[in-house]
Amino acid sequence: MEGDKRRTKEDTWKSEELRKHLRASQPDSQNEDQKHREKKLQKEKSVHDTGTHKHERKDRGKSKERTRERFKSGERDKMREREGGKEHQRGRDRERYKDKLQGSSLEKETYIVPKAKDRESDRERDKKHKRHEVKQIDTQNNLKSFEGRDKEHHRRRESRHHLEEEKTRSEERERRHREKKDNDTKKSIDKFLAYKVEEGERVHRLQKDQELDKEGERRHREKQGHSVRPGKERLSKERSHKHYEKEEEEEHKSKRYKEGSSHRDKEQPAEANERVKSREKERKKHDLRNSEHKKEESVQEEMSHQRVRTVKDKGKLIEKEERDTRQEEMKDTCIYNSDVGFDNFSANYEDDFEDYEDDFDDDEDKSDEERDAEENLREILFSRTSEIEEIQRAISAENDRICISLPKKIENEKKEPIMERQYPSVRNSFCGIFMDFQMANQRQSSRSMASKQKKRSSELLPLIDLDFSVSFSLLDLPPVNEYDMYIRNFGKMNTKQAYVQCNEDNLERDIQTEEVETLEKWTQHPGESALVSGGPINSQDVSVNGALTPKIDSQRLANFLRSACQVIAVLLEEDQVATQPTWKLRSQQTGLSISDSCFRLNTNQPFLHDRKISCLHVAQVQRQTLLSVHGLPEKAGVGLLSRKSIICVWNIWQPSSPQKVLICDSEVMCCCFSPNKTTLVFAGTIDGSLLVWDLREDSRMHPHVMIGETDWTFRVPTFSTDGILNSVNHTSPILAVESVSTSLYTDQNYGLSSLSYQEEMSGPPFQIASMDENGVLNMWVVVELQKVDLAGSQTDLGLIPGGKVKLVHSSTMELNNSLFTKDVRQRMPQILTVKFLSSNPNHFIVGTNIGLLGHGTRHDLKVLPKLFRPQESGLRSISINAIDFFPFGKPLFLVGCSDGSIRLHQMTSEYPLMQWNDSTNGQPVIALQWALTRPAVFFVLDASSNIYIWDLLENDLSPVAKQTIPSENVVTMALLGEPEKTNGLLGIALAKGSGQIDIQYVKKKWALPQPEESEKLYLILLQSF
Amino acid sequence: MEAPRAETPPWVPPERFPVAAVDDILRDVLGSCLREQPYEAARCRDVAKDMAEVIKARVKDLMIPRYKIVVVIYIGQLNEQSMQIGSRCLWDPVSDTFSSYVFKNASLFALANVYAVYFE
Repeated sequence: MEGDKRRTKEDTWKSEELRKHLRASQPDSQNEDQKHREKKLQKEKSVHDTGTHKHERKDRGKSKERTRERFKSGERDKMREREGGKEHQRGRDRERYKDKLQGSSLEKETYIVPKAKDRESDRERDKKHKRHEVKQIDTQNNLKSFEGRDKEHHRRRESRHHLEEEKTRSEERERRHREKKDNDTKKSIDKFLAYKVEEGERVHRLQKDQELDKEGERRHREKQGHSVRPGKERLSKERSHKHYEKEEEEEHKSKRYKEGSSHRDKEQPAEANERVKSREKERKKHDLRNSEHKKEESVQEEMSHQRVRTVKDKGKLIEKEERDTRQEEMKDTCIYNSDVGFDNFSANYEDDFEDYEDDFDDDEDKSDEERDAEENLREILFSRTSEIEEIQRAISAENDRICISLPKKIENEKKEPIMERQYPSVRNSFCGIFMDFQMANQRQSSRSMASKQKKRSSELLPLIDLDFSVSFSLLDLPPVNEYDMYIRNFGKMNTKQAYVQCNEDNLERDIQTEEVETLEKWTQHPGESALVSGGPINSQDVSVNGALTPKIDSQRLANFLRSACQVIAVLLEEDQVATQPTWKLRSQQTGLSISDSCFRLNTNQPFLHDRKISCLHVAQVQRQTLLSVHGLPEKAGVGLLSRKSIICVWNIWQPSSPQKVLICDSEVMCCCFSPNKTTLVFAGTIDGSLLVWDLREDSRMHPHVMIGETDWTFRVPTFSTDGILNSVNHTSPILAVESVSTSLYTDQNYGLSSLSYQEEMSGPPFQIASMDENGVLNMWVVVELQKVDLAGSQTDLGLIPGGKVKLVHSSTMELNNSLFTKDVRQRMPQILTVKFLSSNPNHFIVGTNIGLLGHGTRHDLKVLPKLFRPQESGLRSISINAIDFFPFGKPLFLVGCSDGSIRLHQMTSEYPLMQWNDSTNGQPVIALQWALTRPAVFFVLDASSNIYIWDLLENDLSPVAKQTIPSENVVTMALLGEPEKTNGLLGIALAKGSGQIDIQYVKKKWALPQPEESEKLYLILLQSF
Repeated sequence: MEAPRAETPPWVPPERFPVAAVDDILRDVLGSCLREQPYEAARCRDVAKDMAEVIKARVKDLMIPRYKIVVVIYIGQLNEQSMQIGSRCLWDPVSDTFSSYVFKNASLFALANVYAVYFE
């Protein structure tokens, strides 16, 4: 099995790995081999010494064979050969042995043998060789031509062979390989020889490092031994290939020998004493092989008989029969192959299957003893079978004659392949006599099996093509102290290693006692479900009653109620407005000239008194949602809110009261919503802390205050970066907070968003950028916790108990250093604002107090232009107060400056496309924004509460409208509107110094988009170049 | 900003996963989060999660289209013990890749792996 695996993996395994693997697997089998070899020799010796005893056993073996023969015809051949031709066999064996030593003359020899199957297997062996080693065949052929001569000089050569035995190790390996499938007695002889030789081989293998050298040496020796043999015969490739095969073969062999020998040990306890002697003799034999040659020959003869017996003992006959039949099948396929010219591919597969059979053989050995019992029974039928044997012997003798005559005719090496092809047919004709239809069936079925397996393997192989090439350890922590090294190297003998791991107190206990039965009772008022007042008496009632109580998904119900309440609240409010035209909030202030209608958010809440609005923010997705930041009250009062700043979350459809009220301890400088849903509010404070409110939180987590008749919930931050105690926090007031979402970008391009994020409530992940006065830009990852810890987190100190959202610091950028060159830095620029490009949030723009804008990326990519400058040269102290990106795709942005100038830049050029200097009469621009519904329109707010409307299609030199907000100072401005809807609703939210928020709906002519407005705008912009 | 990409077959990544950039991210995140961190099992558990989130977010920031990202972070104590961490993936080596970084301070080690698997 192992060998098989190896072969299949050959493709993918690295040669080094393989070698390592092989090295690891070698020592065992070799040791075994050695042992067996020794045992074998002992046994042979002993057999030799105790001749009579041996003969008895031989006879027994013979009878067993005979009984077997009845059952399988293929086997019969074999047996006959073994028994009847014993005298012949001896001579033949000798010949065969010698020829085998030559390693190439197998074929001719086997023709003499009166057994078709032997020939078959030999030929097949040869074919296999050809498949693997085409070159070798040639050499074999060469050798064959010499065979006739060899035969004549049997004796002479034999003596020489023993000298050469050691030298021709590789040769024998090759032979063994060929004989792998050999089933008859020859095999055992070969094995014997192989084992002898293996001793030298083992030494060779131990010195693996010098393998190549040795092999070269060996080759040299071979040449010496057989001058006839060409030296080039053995290519290193072939050798390596053979190597694998040989090894697996050896493994099998050794296993078999083990079993066999152990079996024999039981049989021959008397021989145990002689073993030591015989071992010594064996050693001597190696040394003095020349002198002992004769003796050894006889040993071999006897051994061949013994082999017959031992093989029988092992019950190998059956497997051999099977193999024979299978080989015949293979032969058939081989014939095809040879005709087509040895299709290598299929041949290899056949090899694989044969290997499989070998594997199974091992298993079959185990049932040997059972078979022994059966054999006794068969002995009774011996007399009958002997007659049949006689006939068959005659037949085989005929076969022999034909076979001998055929090879003699062909001496030319070139004719050799043809001859080989002829044999199968000849052989088949003989074979047909012994075959029955059952075998044919068997063959067919096994062939279909083989083809099936072949197909399967060919289908599987490309799939199992794992790439082992890229392999290195990701982390390799070396042991630290010498003790560890010592234990690692030497500590395996008598030491015990106690391992210590962390978390070892985390023990699991199991209780085997039965669980205590419990029953739920309810004694509190108000009661829940059917358990009230003691509940039912037994548990059965509970189940009945429990089934009756409807299952309420309270979560779903709550969700439904929440959304339904909102709708109803909006409807009620609209209704209220309709029925009370003189509602106090409505149009106290008449509509401005630029607006159709207006209304006011009810900031007249008790907790909002005396608070100035510092900032407005409109959500990007739900445009009706508005954040208003209310600063600290002017006169410090007492109570919960006196020292807190407040953020109100408004829904402009419900202007009567804020949706949610958020509080925090320090003054809020800026705020924003999460990009995809208005569930999270982020704010940066003057203290440098970044705050997060999770609007989904249950209001019970937060303090309540009864003001008037209303119960107000003041939400405290879910997470504050105040709890992050290390250096990543901001140390100066945060000037800007921006949410950065990359998902929008990917959605647009690839539409993969539907695959993910569905389960998450807050949508795709995003980051928050916060920038402080020092120009430090921090990126924070918004992490939603899977598990809520009501007891509060021990590690996230900024997280409210029960909070689910936290910020994790991701990266820090020093904008001053990264964005500005040295000469700019000399001016000590201070960064005031930061805006991320909506189409590609890796790019951002910062506004400074020297009239420049810096262009940066989050991954330190080099971008051009690095700076955006005003048209006039020279650096002046102009603060960039407002930046707004063009919302309709083109990378344009507007810049409002403290000198009243307005610039229209494009991302690709350093200087503005357009610049308007005096549109505000020198008043600083404090806010400016593109209209959300019309590409060509933008709104500007200056410090003296003037609103300017620019329509670039109408006039690209000056604003088309100017509206002064009377009486009050407008602090900031935000635009409301839904670009995707064309209802022409465009609102301006104006935050006033008094803390009021007015919402003006601008007139339709500036709100309703005109046809092909974008194209016209681009034309104008092009002309302005 | 972006010019429309030339139509490429979906199994060919329009841009390779920028292993070097991700390595930088790993180095940055691990370094900043763990530099002063002593080994505490509970704390490190949270830190590992947080760092994985941060790394994921920052790798996603690179906006490499069609790459699915897997972030795996190991934090362990440095306690004179030997340890080997290996990883095996079944993927297409043409388009898929990974980035790995090991951080060590006095008391702990941290290994961060980012596997980027191309989504055809």
